[in-house]
Amino acid sequence: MSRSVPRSSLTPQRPTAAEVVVREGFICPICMQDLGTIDELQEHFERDHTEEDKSILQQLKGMLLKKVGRSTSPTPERRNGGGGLSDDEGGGFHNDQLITWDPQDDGDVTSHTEYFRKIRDNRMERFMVETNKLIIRLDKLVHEAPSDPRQRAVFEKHLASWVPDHDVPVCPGCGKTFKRFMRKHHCRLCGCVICTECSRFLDEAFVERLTNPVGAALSRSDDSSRRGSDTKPGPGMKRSNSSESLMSIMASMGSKDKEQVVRACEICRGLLDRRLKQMDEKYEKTELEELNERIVFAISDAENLYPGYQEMAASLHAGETNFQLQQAVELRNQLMRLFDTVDLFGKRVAALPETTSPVEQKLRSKIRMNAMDFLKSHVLSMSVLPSPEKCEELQRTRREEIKRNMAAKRAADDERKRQLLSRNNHHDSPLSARKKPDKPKTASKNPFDRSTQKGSSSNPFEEDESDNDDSLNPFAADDDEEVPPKTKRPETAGRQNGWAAEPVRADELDQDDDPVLQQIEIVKKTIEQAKRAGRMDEVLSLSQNLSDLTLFYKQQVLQQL
Amino acid sequence: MDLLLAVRLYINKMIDESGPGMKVLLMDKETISIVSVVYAQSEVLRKEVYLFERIDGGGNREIMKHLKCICFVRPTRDNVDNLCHELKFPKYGSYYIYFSNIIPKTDIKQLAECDEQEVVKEIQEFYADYLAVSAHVFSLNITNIYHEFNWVPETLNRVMQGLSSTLLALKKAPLIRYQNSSEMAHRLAERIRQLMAKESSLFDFRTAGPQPVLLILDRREDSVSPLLNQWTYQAMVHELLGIQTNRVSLADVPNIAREMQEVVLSTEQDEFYAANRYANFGEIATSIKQLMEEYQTKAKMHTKVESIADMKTFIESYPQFKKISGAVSKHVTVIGELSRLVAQNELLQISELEQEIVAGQLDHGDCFQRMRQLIANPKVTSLDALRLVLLYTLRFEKDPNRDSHTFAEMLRKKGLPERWLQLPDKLARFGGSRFRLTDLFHSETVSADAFMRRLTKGIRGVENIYTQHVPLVKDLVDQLIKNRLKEPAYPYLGGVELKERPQDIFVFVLGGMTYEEGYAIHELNKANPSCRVCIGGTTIHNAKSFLEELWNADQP
Repeated sequence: MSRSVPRSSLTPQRPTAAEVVVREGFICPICMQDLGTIDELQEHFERDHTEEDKSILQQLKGMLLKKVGRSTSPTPERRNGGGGLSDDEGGGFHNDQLITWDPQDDGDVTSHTEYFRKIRDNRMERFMVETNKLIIRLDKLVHEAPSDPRQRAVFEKHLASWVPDHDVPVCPGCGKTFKRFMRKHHCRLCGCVICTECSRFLDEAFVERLTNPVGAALSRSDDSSRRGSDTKPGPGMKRSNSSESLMSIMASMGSKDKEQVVRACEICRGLLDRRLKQMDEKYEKTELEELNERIVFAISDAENLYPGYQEMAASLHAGETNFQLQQAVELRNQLMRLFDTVDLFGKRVAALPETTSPVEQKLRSKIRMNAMDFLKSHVLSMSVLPSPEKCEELQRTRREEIKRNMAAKRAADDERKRQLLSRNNHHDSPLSARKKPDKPKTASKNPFDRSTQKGSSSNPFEEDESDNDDSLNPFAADDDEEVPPKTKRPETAGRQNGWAAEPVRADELDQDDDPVLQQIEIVKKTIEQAKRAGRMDEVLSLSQNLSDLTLFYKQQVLQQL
Repeated sequence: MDLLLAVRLYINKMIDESGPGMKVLLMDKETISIVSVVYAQSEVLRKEVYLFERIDGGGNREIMKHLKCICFVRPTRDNVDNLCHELKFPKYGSYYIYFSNIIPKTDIKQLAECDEQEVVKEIQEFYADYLAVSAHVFSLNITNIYHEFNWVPETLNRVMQGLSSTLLALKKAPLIRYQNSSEMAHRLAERIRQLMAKESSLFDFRTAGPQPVLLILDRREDSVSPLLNQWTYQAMVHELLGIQTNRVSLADVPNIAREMQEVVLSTEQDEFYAANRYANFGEIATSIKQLMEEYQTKAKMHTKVESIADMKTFIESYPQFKKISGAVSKHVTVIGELSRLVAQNELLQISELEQEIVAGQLDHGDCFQRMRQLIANPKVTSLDALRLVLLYTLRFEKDPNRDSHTFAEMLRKKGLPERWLQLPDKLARFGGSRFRLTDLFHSETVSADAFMRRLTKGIRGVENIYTQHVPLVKDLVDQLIKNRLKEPAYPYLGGVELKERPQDIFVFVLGGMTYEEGYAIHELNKANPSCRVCIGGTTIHNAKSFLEELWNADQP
């Protein structure tokens, strides 16, 4: 029992060395040979292992299901993130990221918008008709009423069809009974009877705004029709159209200077109030809003361009010729302009005239914060471009590097071939092959180790690789088996050293293959990478290499026969 | 089945639907936590969400017609009323309304009638009605659910809503199993089933493979887990400092810097925390040392910015450097405080004894002696003394030698408030053997796996004496994964049984789960790649909050 502060992993069972190597793919359970597809595996099995004891098979099957079976499981996405071994991730990293579940779509959603609109629009339709009616009457009252008081009274009575006085014993507004000396008033808009207290006069400005929306008000109503059709094409459109036409009719009738004011009841007044409020609603864009919009546009433009530029810069630093320096400089200037825009408008937000509203203050500071955050995270980490001379120099060193690499590689290949010939015979017994995977470390002692494969000991990848995966998880390679080579790698490493293929790992390949076959595999993969990186010269020389190797292998097989 | 991602997707969708423009996020007390747990402010800033307001915060918000309002609230009566008022006198230009759960049609109608300015553009249900603590852990943040060992009626409703929202967010219509000994588990299961029947069109998810399973448990079955001292980072921080919606208050730490009085521990924004929250205390010390060294080399590099090359490296690594320096000072402070508490309160000794008590191999005499010694130690806090006594009460409940009187006296002498002295008796009623189905202390075998574990423990010795305890939930879920969970003790509701092994599992612990259990489920997820298990509770307990829950449980 340990008495020190708890250090060891919480899980009691640490896997033994035998369990450690989890291999994936279609691996024959008897000779541990990796077959590419399930068909091949089946064929291989029937061909090579039919004589073997079926009971062993049964035993192995269980194991196969547990260990290897994951690769054939119905959820292949999980395999790569599954973290190899369940209990031991090494390095004390108990990271949730190691469990990656299937990609997930949005959660369930129920929309009530349609139902909501239906109810709202029904209701609004009623108001709208009523309000429009009132406005027409109001307009007539103000603009068409005869000036003679008696005629005028008749006109008013007719227009709104006044309710007879004697029908109304109680004021509908406040509920008071009409006593003898209390005046009964009529609402000029709807004709109902109300007491003095409950009646209001609509002042001139109010009436004017509703009935004669000239100038700015006219443009406001235009705005309203546009907005209306923007947001809801259905009934909204109809409504705003009708109100617009109404406005224009009234505007055309436009004689202005009437002094009258109109007596109305609370209800009519409320309806008209709402209409006015809606007209006010059509606000104009504030300056702050405009500034924010500019900032956000600039940020999103910059965010689109940024990764492309970084890639370009990295490629140029690596001495590659994929991009022109001129191109990159232009892109850089474009980005700098966008950064400037963000900065400029951010400053203008700060320079807006003082406001007393704390919320407005807060809003401004948040907008500025957003701009500053963006600049901090992007401007500082932006790569610097090499000067034209430097660029040329980089390209030259890279070409030399490649040449050197190729030469070294050739030499190494020759060396390897020679070694192969001598070692050849130890490699084809299935028994010895079966033991191999139990010793993961053999990979490094193997002459086909990465460094010799690459033929250049100064390959920067070696550090890269061991820094990233290997130290954290020595068995990551098993998981990576079918992952296409990471495309990012060549860029980052290439920065110092020119293009270099990502090493095809020794343990990535099946170790039981004939070493020559392995080598062929490696060269093939390297060619793929070279193609992807657009290095046609490499592809050519490697293809030459490949055909040499295939020839050699054929000869070898013939010899054996 | 990522609970956290589900909430993030919902929030993304809300923000996207409102389109470009300045936005304000209008929330209530609960949804504000739901959002803040999964999103950092800087992240939403980038999406033009500049203001955050409370709908229940009084009517003093200013009118700002140039803002779009995203309103994310729970469908409660109060919220609907507040929202009605808001729509009658709208303060913002347009409204996008999202309810975090199912809302009655009548409420929608009421709202529609208030929208006279036609400001509402969207009104929807987005089922993010739970706190997503991590991908596989959720909490409803509700405490004190027991009333005389039964549901407080409103609480049952709220819990049903929260739990069902996780199902909807992940689009699962599960079979339900519940702990037979708990009437409360049964009632909750019934309510969930009723809801699924009533809203059958909503719960109409076609899934390939076996149907998901929801297992409802009662905290009363395992009172041990919330009583133990913990040694994994997350659990330990919660136990000693307390985590509330990802926030840890360090205000009580001596000589604390002002900006460190409250720190945020979030797996989304804090890589170190994400990687180390399940690491145990010793490992954490190593990791933080690495982080420090990395920081120091970087810092050193930065101090001698002499050449242009230095400058360049500085600029290149600047954002990363800033991030690290923030993380370093935060975690160093937290870990420093943890070790101070460990040393000051003799936690190692206490934890060792706790673990031995629950491992069930300590006889009464030994235990009694060691407890007396520890409790008499002035460095041991009264809370730690109390938890020892509580564990003792559970472990030796039926032992004829049990002497609760001595300990009660000792606790009184330690200055424990009188009301806490009732807790041992309350605990016996709450989680005593009369209620439990399982023997928590392994004097008989719980399951084949637990048996195997004990066997291997016997042979190989215990790897770590402070973390021997394995919460009951782990055993139960393990059995459930293997489709071996006993039918009579954990029956299916409604008679439909699952014939094959389940793939998607929800575990819900009413009365509150613990971080220890969250970690155990994480381990199971890692060990069973074909299974996906989520666990949640009415809340996430540490000892202190559990004792509150316990105290209120049978308070008349």
